[in-house]
Amino acid sequence: MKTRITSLLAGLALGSSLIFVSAGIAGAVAPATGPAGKGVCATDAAAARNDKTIGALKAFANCEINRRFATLDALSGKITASKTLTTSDAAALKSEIDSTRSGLTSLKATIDAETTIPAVKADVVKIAADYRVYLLVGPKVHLVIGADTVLAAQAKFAKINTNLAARIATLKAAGKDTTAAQADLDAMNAAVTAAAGLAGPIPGQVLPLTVAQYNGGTAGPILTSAKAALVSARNDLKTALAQAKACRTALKALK
Amino acid sequence: MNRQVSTATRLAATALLVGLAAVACSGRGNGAANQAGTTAPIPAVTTTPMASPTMTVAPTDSAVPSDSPAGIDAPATPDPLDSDLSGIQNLLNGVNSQLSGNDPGSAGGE
Repeated sequence: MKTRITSLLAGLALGSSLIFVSAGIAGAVAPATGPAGKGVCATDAAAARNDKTIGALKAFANCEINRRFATLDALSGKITASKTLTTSDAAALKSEIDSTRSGLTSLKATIDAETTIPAVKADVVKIAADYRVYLLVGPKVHLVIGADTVLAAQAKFAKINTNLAARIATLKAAGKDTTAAQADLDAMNAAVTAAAGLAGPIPGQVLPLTVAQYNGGTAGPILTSAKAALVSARNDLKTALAQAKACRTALKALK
Repeated sequence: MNRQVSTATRLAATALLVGLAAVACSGRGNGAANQAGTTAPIPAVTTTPMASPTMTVAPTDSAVPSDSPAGIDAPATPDPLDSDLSGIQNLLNGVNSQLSGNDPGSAGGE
């Protein structure tokens, strides 16, 4: 019996250690295989620097293009999974991702066909400069999904407003002092209006931005400003949520 | 006398067991009905000197069915506002996720 228990404990200990080891491996590998894996092409980059052969340079170029394909797939997945994106915004983003993927596919074919190192070097520069997957396409997707999510929250808050306003009216009719609850509800609505006012223009501002505008220095400030607006809108939504909860608490205290 | 006492004790214990079994097995409405039927003989026993044990049994029996429906009903009517507020929290989390994903540094960089 004692032997069996000992064996069981040993088995559990082994199993636990394997789980921890597996988790460690997964944690170490995940960033490299994901779209955020900047270090994915580090080996190819080092080989291209050291070997100075056309083959090594092409391998590095292909790695960088494949990394962008992975990122575009992930962004595409986010668009598909989003429950808050408007149909037109989703279509615009998908179109941008498709054209970016198509352009990179053509560039990859061009690189594969190159026969001189200077030509490949010139093509490698285009991978980043002609497509701006990480500095323009990615931020566009995130900012537009974020903005549409804020606007979706506005619709939900309208429902909450109807609910709380009805409760306030009922208690007021019963002779209760609903001043504090009404103030909370007013604050909630003001915060929601502010959030929607900040998020509403974002899709229209960032969707038309082009790679040329980014490279020319005019798109970057618009993206930065849009991100700041989204942060403020998020904070307003937080405030609105807190006010909604405060209103409900105030109403419960009156019952 | 001892025989009477022991009969009374047995009766009280039986009533208690039947009462508890009825509460455990029956629905809300039926439980109360069963209690009334099983506790009926007890008042007859209360005339004996061992009345106090049976008196403690009766309130316990009547208290159980009246408490349990309230305990069951309370979570059955959730405030619809809870799901709306929870939905807002989910949307907020979604905005946070987009804000953290928007950082070019976290996305790998060009």
